[in-house]
Amino acid sequence: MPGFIPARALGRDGAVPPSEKIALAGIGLGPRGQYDLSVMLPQKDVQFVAICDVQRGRREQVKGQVDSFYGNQDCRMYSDMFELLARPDIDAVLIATGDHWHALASLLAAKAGKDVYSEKPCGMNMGQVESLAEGIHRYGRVFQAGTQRRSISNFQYAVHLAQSGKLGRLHTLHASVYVPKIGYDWLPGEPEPSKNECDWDRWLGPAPWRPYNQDYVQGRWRGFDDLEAGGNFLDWGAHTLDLCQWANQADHTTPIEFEPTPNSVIAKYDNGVKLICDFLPTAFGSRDPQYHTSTGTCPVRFEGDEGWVETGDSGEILLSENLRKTLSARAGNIVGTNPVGHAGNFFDCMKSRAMTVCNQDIMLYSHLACFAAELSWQLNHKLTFDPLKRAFIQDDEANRLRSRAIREPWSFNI
Amino acid sequence: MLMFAPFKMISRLITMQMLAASLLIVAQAQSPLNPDQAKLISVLQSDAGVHEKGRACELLGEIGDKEAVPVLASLLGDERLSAYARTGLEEISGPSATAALQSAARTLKGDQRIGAINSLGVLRDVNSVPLLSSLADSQEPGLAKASLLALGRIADDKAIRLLLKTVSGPSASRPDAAAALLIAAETELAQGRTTSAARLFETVRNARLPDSYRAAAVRGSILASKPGGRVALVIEQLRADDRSIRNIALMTIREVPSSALADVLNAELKTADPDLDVQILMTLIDCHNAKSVAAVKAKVDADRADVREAALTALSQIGSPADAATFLEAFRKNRSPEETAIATRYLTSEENSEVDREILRALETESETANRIRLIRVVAARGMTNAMPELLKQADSPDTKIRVAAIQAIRAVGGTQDIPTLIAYTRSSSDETVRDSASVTIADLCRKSANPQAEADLVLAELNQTIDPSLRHCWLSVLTSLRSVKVLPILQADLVNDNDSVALNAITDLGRWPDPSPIEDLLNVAESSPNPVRRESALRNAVGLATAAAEENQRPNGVIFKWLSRADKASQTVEEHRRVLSGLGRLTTIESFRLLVGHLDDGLENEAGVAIAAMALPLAKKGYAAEVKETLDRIAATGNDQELQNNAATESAAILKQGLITNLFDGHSLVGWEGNTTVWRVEDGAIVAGSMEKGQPRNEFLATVKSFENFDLRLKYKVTGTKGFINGGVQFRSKRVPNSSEVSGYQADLGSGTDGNLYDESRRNRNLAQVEAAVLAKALKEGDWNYYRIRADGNRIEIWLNGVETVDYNETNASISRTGVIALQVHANTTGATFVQYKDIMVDELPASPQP
Repeated sequence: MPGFIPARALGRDGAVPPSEKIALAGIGLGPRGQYDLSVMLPQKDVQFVAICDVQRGRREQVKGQVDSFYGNQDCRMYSDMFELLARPDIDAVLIATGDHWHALASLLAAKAGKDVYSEKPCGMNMGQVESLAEGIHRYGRVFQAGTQRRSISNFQYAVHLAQSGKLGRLHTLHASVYVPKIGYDWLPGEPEPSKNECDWDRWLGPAPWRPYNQDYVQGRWRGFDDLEAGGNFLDWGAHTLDLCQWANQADHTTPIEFEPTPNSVIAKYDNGVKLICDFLPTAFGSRDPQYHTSTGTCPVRFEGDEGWVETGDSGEILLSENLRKTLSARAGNIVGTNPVGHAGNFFDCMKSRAMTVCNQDIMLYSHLACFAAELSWQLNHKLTFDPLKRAFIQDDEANRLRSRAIREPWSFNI
Repeated sequence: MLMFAPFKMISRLITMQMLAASLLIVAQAQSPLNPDQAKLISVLQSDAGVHEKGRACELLGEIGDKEAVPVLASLLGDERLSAYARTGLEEISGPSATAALQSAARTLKGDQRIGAINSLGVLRDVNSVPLLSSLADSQEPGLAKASLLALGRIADDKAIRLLLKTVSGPSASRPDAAAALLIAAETELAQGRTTSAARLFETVRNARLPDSYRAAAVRGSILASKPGGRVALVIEQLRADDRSIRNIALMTIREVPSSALADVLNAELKTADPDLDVQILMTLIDCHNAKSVAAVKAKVDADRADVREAALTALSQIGSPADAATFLEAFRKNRSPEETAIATRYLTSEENSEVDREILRALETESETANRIRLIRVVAARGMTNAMPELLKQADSPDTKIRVAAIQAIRAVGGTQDIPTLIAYTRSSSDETVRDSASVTIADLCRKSANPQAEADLVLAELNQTIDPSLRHCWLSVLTSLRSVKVLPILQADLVNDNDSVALNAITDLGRWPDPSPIEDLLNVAESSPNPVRRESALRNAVGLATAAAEENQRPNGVIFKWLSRADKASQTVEEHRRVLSGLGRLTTIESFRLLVGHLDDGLENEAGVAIAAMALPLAKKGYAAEVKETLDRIAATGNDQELQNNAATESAAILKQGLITNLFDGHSLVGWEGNTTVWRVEDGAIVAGSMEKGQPRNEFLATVKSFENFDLRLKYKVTGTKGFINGGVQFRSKRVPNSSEVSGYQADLGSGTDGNLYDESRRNRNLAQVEAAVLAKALKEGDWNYYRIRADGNRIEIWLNGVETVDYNETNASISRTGVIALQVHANTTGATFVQYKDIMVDELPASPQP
């Protein structure tokens, strides 16, 4: 049965002595990061102590959120992440910067002896996620990728059905993704603000140079090739493909074939199972006929020769006719949202040193699968991939797209 | 924004053609096999901007070869383009790329130099080792570090020797050399050179370095150790004082699980500091052997709660169905919510017939009520269909709570074949709670059928034989919840049953109907029943149905409105009216709006106001902007709830902002108007003419520049004076008379008893319509601000004075113009003074009339 309930999810009451508390810091917390924070702050054994952001406004906003939660003024602000990472008292960092910083910031934090919770996608390309996984192992850190749907009950249940044979032999998995698109444009350059307001050079970090525009730093960096990973394929793909990997018990491998069609990418595993990444034209609204609209955003469907299950963010679990009779009572009892589960799993694993549900290895293979799928779309032809060598077979051009140089003086070789 | 469609190859060529178009220098001889590359090289040699050049570098990375190296290399010193160029070189790779990078590493400065070194590391260029070694002790910031780490990535013998030397020397770069050695060691390990790897890890382990390096080295040592030595090494680390060392030992065990290591963990559980127990137990999940289960079970009864929980968690992962008894015991003991939850979760989800048997056995023998109920719930959660007999037994328990729990569990576990049993059970039960529960269960079981209505017929048959009202109500509940159409007429008949409780139950059941079919019957009861309790309940339920219907668009708006108006009329208390208003609030129609407006003055203004504000904008968009805005302004000015007033003001402003209604007067200037500006001016936010000091020699008009055809015009006016004909007017569909100060056309007259009349100025020169004196007397606010509304739509002209309609006129003369300007008048007064003021002038233009 996937996962187990961490004690905290059951609301363990009672105060925790400061010495047993996890000291947590944040790097780059915008709207998503602040949401993550809102889930983490109420954890009684966690104390949020510091925020680092290259933008003054964001630093102050997070400090405000944290101070008001605790009723004090103790949250420290930093503009330079190295100062924050040098603090020996900090145990873990929450990283929710733009995509282009995720992998390197996680790696730097790991090397500095911190456990890491990183928003997805965890890297910009295959090379980055490989470096990240390698570094997390090397420094023996606990790592959680922000693919929190693995900790949400309706998804867990659907995966359980797939894994336990209740659907018979699995043959097709469906992962929904946005219609992919890549933009190579730059926004018009604007005068750079003062470093204290927004350190543009540091905001860019490892991303290759482009001129400053306030839109980027106000959260509108999506749609730009060097700032958003994988042509927005990974925005949902990091979740939905990951769930399919899990369902297929393929967490330490990837599909070996990827083929683009006008509306999808069709991938095939070594064991014959097909993984179809369906392109959905809209994020919300009707997604008929590919999925049942009632299942909400990020739908996945798992099909076997004895039944199928479909579920999404609405929490509803849809079953094939034959399974409805036997399982609907149970499925109806599954409670949908449990957002504390994923963060809670991270904190519990920090204490037990267990691997999290979305640890670096699982993250690696999910992301490799996503990037490979996205590349087959980008190059518009079939690709074959070797999950052991983690490279494409007989396709130099695809292999060249596995990674890119990052802007000096930054390096993944740390 | 340039977006690339899925057909990337084609798009890329288009891009390159676009780039080529901006060239100043055209490419010379190029490789005929790679014309695209030639174009990209040209771009890089041209004056193109950073953006195009950067993209060209990336594309060369994708398709280029050594031909592209020189031009890429030339950009390595450019702080903006270097990273792009390095992408190109890293992807092209090969000797010319590395040679170019070496050259750059030799000659560049600062960050760009570091970039070149980084790329050499990425490319693992063995030929750069001498160069990198020479830079490894540079004092330039960042240079030594980059070189050392690149050497670590390359990891040939010479590189490793240099790193070993650096890590053991006095240099400030020791940590960087150590990090590099860790990388090199991992490469050695991956290539099977375990002895060499072990030596390197050992060196780092023993060097005086920060914890994270040492921990990484410990991990490496464990991974590189021979199986024989591994156990001892692991034990040593597990017993280290330093927590970070203990932690990494546990993590590394998971990477290389073995039975031998499981033995270590099993043993440590018995002897180690209890503080470590939780971690060891969790590690056993990923590294266990046959003896681990016993070791884990021994901790299920530990003193510490967190250890017990970890033990249960571990057992749930590594145990077997035979261990169900352990979980049952923890479940029963209920020592803490966490332990019980872990046990419950195991018992609920572990799908195995042996576990089924254990649970059933436990249920049969459990004496404590609370535990029995919890076990029954586990049975339900497991969906144990074989538990039906036991559940039926529990359903006969003397304890009501157990009976109810059992009946509830049957919902998950039972099937359609159990319906007759449940019916019989319900019939013979005298406890109402139990019956209620049973009726829900029966309904749920019916729903499991392929044809629920067929199952419902069983209940219907039962109903027809039942006299006892409470039992009857039970069957009716089932049928209602199944939406059984056959029950509708029965309920409708029950509405007028002599027995109050039968009637009231029917009202409630009908109130839960999924669509408004029963509503008319309920309204009839609400309107005509002499019984106050029935009346109240019927009204409440009818309004509930209507509200749901409005929300879910189950009937046309007009139909729902009629129901709610009936309900409104039948309402007697404030609370009842309030519910109706709430329903009206969901009907965004002008009729609903007007009905709500009717409640603005009777103590329900807050509820009405909220609903009005919510539908204001949608209605304004449907052509009722003027009417809606007028209402909102009224609420904003006179409401008695600050939040409501603010709300109304906001919506009113939104109507203006969205252009749904137009301000003709901006409040401070005469923009949009023309006329004699020695007479007409703006004072105190109003357009004024005349004064209290003197009169006017002749009529003066201030006219809009724009013409209007069909419209709904609203404004406020105030006319005061000393003596004589104190008069003004609002012209519309008018035009200036040439060579004159006159304007001809319709006029809504005002002042000296003419207010509310429709006069035809300088044209037919008579009243077209005149308001009765008595009506005028009641409507007019003499000497004060008055509110004029003039609506001209096709042939129909209407005028309202302070909300009272004074004119409804139909123009039959085809030659009279249907378009023209709007104008404000101050009438001539040679006897005394006249002062006219006009403000808040707004027009809502209506669609043009169709051509005749």
